[in-house]
Amino acid sequence: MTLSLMVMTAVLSTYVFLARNFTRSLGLTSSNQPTLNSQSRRVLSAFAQDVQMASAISGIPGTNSATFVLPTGSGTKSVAYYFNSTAAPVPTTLAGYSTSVPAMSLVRVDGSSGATLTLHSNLLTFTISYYDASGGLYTVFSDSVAGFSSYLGIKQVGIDFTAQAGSATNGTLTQIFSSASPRLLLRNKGLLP
Amino acid sequence: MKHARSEQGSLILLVLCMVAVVGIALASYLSLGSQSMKLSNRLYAKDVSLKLAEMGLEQALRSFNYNTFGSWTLSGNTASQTFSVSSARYGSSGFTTAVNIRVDNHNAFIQDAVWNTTTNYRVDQFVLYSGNWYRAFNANKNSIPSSGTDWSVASGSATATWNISAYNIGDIVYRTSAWYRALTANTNQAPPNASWSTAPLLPINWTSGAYNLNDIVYDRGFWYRCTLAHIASNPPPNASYWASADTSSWSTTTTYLVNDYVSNGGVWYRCIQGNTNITPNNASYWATNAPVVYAEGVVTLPDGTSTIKTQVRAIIANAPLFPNAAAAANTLTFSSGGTVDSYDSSRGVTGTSNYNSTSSPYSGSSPNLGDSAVLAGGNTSSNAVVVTSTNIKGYIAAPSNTTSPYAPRYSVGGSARLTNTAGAVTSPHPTAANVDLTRIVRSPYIPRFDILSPNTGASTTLPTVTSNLGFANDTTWRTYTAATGLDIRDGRIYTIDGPVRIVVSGAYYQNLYAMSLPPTPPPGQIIISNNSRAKLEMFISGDIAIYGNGIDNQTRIPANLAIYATTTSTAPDFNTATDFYGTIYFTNSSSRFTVLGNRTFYGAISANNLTFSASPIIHYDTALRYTTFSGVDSPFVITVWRELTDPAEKVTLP
Repeated sequence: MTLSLMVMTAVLSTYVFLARNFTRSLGLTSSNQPTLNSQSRRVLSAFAQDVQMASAISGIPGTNSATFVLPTGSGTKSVAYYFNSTAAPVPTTLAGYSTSVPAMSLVRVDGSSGATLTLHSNLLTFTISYYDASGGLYTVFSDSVAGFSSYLGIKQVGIDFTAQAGSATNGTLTQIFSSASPRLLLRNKGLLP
Repeated sequence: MKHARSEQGSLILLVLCMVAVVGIALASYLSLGSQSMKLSNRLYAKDVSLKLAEMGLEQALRSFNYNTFGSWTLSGNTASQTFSVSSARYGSSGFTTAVNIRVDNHNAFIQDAVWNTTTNYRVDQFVLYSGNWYRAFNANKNSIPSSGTDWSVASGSATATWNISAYNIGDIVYRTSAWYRALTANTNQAPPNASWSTAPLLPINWTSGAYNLNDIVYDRGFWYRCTLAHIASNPPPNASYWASADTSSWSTTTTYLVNDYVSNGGVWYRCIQGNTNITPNNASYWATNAPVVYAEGVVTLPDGTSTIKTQVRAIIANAPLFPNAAAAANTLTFSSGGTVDSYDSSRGVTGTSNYNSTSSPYSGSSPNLGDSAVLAGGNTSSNAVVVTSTNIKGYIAAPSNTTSPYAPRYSVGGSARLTNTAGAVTSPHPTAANVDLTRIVRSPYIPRFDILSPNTGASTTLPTVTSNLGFANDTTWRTYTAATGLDIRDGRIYTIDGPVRIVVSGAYYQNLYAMSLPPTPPPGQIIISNNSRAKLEMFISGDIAIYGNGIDNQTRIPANLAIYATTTSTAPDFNTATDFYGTIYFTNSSSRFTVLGNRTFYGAISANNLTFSASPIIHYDTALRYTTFSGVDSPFVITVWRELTDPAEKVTLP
């Protein structure tokens, strides 16, 4: 009896120990952390692929949205990115298609088909940064503000974002997951204004 | 006793259950970790494969820039290569890598070169041998040009070379004072006849000349196909004569016959074998004139069962030399007023400027007048572009400051104007109401390529009296040298009748002293005749002072006059009464180039430091954005880069 109790105590202790560590690292949030990881990789991969192919930035770029013009085999198409930083869905028109962007999510809309893909649904922050040929950051996006210069000079684009999934209420809240892209060169953008 | 054993059994079962639960949890965790690791590895492999494909592109660009594909496997117009990168470069990932490359039309930009015994020469290639230029009429290697076996003299005195041999599409032959290009494969079909094109000498870049149905040209970044044979100067886009490669896209459902044309990815393809639903990048069924590079990065994962491939496609062209109306690697200064705008010299009638023309294809409501003139400076420590009161229809491009808000380094006077063609201002500058902030750009591009040393082995000493230089039927450059400088002060006139290079070792003065010396002699001048091949390139190593009547480019095409200067000890200046149609390239010097007086420029000018001290009138020729100048080593660049994500677009690589 005593031996059985000792064995059981040891097993239970091991279980509790493992469970606590799972909770802290992966454990109870194990379905969340890999999701954050894969979503973040997908964002970086899709964004890098589009920006490097872009021949132009369409319209006025913003820190939470941008529309790129991409060459295709038969012409060009638009691809739009939009981050909804609010807690409610936002209806908007991207690359010519009406869509509703879920809360705290980043979507990509392909202007050739209207296909809308939610690349990330657990974002805390998401920022698009624009740079000129020598690496100077664009900080002014209104032509009424001092220091404004034309968007035609944008030659590089980068993103950085943070994400977090789960809930503190049930102990499934993950650590904040931070990601950033390198400065991506718009390879097909003309050297001329 | 029995009760105690029952309790022990229950306890053991409970423990076993708990161990099972923990085991399942551990197994799940290990499986999750394993899958996560695999995913991570595959994504890393994807990144690596893209980098490898980029490496392949760079390898192809290097071969274009070095003008050799000697280490490649050549098959017709296609060059291919495969290489691998050591696994050690990817740490302990265990990746096995390979790079596969295919270059279609690797020989599209073959440049003039001195003949050698080791190069595989293609038909239509020029070489210099014993002071003469030769053109290949047979593909050959180590065939001495003067033997006449595979080469003919290239400049105007070629002998008949066509024979009864079998010819393929695109082959070039010379017969009865003309060159011909095979439109279809043929045997014993003496040109001229339907098997041959009569416009074989035209390069892939559009030039004024004769074009036949289905000739393909490259013009201002786009490919066009001739839809109606014509001789007059009708450059694309012109719907009467040309179709754009952005239309007539290839379709998966159409049945194509031999000699059908389709566009794919911005270039034209000709069907060489009937097919349906075979993509135009399949070289067995389709041919193109355009140099296109396919590069593929291949990463095999350590388990040996998974391979990640990324394929990219790029179109190659020369980098532009004059993307700006006026550019200074350091500081560009407009000290007073003047005007700057743009037009397109290639649209309209040869021999006239066509500036602000309202003749077809232009009209009174849409004249040949634009707002694409870029004034660019490269100074990164102070104002790169300084404009006092000039009226600019175009853009200002200057580097950004190093602190927020990273504003461009420029200054404009209160009376300066920077607008579109209509003079409209979208966002006025705070202190210059007619300067549009949306036209001030932070990323100047000022090419600084090396000036090539012209081959003077077959040159002629430049006469010191009035002379005609070159001949109207010359197909290659004639070079004249002035070993002790060139001083045109005695009324002599040089008339340029063909493609001519003048190499001046020393200073080039034109009417500099004559104006102040009594009695004033008749002014000297250089005149470029208005014929289709007359053009002039001047290489000046010393000071420059161009005054008086200057250079009269009667073709009125700025691309036909290029002045390359390299002096670092003096400050060249320019002040001529004759309107200047041409280009000046002085970017590699440390000196300042000064334009005096209210002079009129058609073309573009690029220098290290550039000052317009009075009120110039500058009409930037937008055709210069795509013009290749043979006197400068313009590198090849990628004009369109795409990652091929559609499986149908991918090609099979070696």
